[in-house]
This record gives sequence, C-alpha cells and structure tokens, in this order.
Amino acid sequence: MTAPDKPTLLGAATSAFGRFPDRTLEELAWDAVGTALAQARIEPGQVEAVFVGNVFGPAGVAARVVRSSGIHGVPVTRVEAACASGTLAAHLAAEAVAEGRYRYALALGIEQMSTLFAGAIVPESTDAEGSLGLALPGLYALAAQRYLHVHGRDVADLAGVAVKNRENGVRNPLAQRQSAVTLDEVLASRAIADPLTVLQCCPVSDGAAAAVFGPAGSVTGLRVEASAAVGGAAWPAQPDEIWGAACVRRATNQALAQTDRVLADADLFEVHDAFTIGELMTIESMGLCGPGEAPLLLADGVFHADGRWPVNVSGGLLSRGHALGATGLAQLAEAYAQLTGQAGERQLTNPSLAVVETMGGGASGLDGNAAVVMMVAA
Amino acid sequence: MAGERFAGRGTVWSATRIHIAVGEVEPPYALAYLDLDDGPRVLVRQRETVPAPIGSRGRLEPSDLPEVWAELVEEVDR
Repeated sequence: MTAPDKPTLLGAATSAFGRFPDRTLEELAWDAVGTALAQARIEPGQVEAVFVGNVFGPAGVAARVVRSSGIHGVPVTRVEAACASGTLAAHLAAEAVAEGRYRYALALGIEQMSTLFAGAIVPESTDAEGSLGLALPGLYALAAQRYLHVHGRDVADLAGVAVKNRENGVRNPLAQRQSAVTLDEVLASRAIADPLTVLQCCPVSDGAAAAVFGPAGSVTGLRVEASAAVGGAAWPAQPDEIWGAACVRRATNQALAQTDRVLADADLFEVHDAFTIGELMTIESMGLCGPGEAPLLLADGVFHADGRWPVNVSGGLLSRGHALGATGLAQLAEAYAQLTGQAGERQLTNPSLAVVETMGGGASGLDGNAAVVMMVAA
Repeated sequence: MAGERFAGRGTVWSATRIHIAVGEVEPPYALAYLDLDDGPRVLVRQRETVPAPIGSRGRLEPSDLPEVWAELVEEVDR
C-alpha cells in the first residue's frame, strides 16, 4: 500500500457455504453484507465504493447484488483473479480507503457454482492444459507428485491436511462439510488425480462473504497491518519449484515489507487449501518453515487448532467449500471472528494477529494468476 | 512469436493419472510434464495410463487422439 495510514477492517462476515441452487446470490450476499455492515456500525448508504470478487457470474451480476444490498449510486468494480478474486477485492477496498479515496468501502465476494459445475471446473480450452484435460485437481496433483518425490514424503502426509481441516470444520456452522474424516477414509476415498483423492479436494460451493473497510484509527475493528496483491510470472522458472510457490512467496514478501511484524508472530493463518498439497506448499512458500518441513510440523500438531500456528481453524476450503469469488472474504471473515472473539466453538485463546492468503491460478505458463496476502491485527 | 523445433526427448518432471472426465477427455489417462533435453518443460499426454516415474526418460510420438499433438512414450536407456 502506498499510503502511510493503515486502514481498519470494520467488519467481515460470510453466508453459509454449500450447494444452494434454489437460493439467489442476492440472498446469500445480504447474509454477509448485512452482518458486516452491522459489525461496522454503518448504514448501506454510507458505503462509498464496492469491489466485487466474482469469477463465473453473468454480466451485471455485481450491479444486481449490490442493488439489493441498499447501496446506490456508488462505483461498483468487479474483479476476477480466479480463487483469489475475493481477496483481491478486499485488497482493493483496503487500498482505496488507505489512499483516502473513500471513507468506507465494501468488499463483496459472490459465487454460485452449483448451477454451473457438477465436479471440477472445466479448464479453458485455449490453454494446453484445457485441451489435454488438465483441470485444477490435475495441476495440483502434478505439484503434489513432484513435492512427494523431492522431499521423500508420502500421500498420507498430504491426507493429514484434510484430517486436520475437516476436524476444524466440525466447529464451523457455516461450512459445507461439518464432519470429521479419518486418515484411512481420506486415502480410500475416490481417486481424482493421483495422489489426490476426493477428500483431498475442496467441494465447489455457493456462497457470499463481505468485508467493510474504514479509515485508520477507527475506534472499533482491526488494523490492516499489511495487504499485498501480485500477478503471475513465468512458470517454470529458477529456482525450479512446484507451481504456485513463487507466486505465493512474491505476495508474502510484499506484505511483510509493509510491517514490522513477522510471520512467526501470527496467531492464525487462513490459507488456500483448495487441495491438500496447496496448504503445505503455501505454508512453505510463505516462509513459515523450510521446504519439505510442513508435513513434519503438521504431524507434530503445530498447525492444529491448539498448536503454535493454527492453519485453517475455520476448516479451510476443504470444509467450508470453495465459492470462488467469496472464498478470500470468507477467509478474512474468519480472521475477523477470531480476532474479535466471536468465533464460537472454534475460538482461539486471545489471538492478535492473523494472516490470510489466497492464490488463484490456472492460466497456462504462469506460476499463478494472482496471489493476495493480508495481515490484520487486533 | 516464432516456431521452434525440438528433438522430443526428455526427462519426466512429474506425472499423474486423471480419474475424472475433464471437458471432452474421458478417464483414465495420464499426463506428464516432460523437461525436453533441448527445450522447455511441456505438458504431454502419456500413451500409457500409468504415470511415468519422475526422473524417467521419455520421447514424444505423434498421436491419433483428437486435440493431442503428441504422446509421451517411456524410453529405456541402454
């Protein structure tokens, strides 16, 4: 961010995530927006700009959803960065407030997947990945195979991520999956793309999430300690890493350059676990531990809800589900809930710093389409 | 943009077997990243459905499959 003043996250909330083909995006959005505005203690009419994260909605979807939120006459900007769309919307809203362009800006993520896809998202046919049949599970599977080979790890190391996150999801009443799974169940579930089984892949979901940003020094809310968004760069590249790693690191380093805080200070991490390998790759790429070490720390309980660095205490995408445009804002909503002591059964003990990371990708030849890292502090 | 020619031999960087239909492509099928000896890493379809071991050698041969320009065939070094 260019402005010296760090904006305030005044509220952040999510609708339920799930398969809701009979609910409208307007309804889902209001579940999130209404709560976030109430947390921020402002009226819809006080919102001066809206940034909407959405991937697959039709033309005009942002205007229709904002219309039904009681917000009129202000600029509405729709942004798309694959899985990072919602986080990018949050980044843009925070940045706009920090620069003094608006007093209050709303970031809104919306997605309805159930009416579009039965399973994996169909890749773009103009990319080699699309014409050969490499959807995102396959792309992550190729990264996972390489990761396991290079670090001498086993598929059970990946599956451990799903076991942890599903256990966390039991305590998240807004998650699509609210049941625990065993390691054996994860490993024995239907094969999707070796070594990924279906329980190592997030479900695609419908949902909405929203965040309200206000000026620096607000009486209530959380300080946006850092916010960085980056685009993709060429992949493969040197050093020779799995897909996505460099993109995540680029965003993390830019975020850390904005603050005196270090990653190890954080009390919780909400990171992009669309697939189990994604969480391990992200933790390592952010620099929380060295290459190949994340499975060892996971096995030691470091990333569990009662560990030193809880990762995806919300249940992550593996439990909550993945409503693409809404996901990043749902991650931010978890950070808000935890840091304001409103996380219910999954409340951590006095957390004061949270890190949110989302990486979106799939465009051929890039290490990601975008990655966003935000740090918020109580 | 300009075309480049490569010999079509390389080392497998990673490979996976896909078990779900993706668009028009019916499972199961294996895809690999092949690091060409004289060129870049390319995503290729394998002729076999068993993923090639990482580090193994392979060569590209023309394919009869629609939309597939070449298939990876495992090569045993002698």
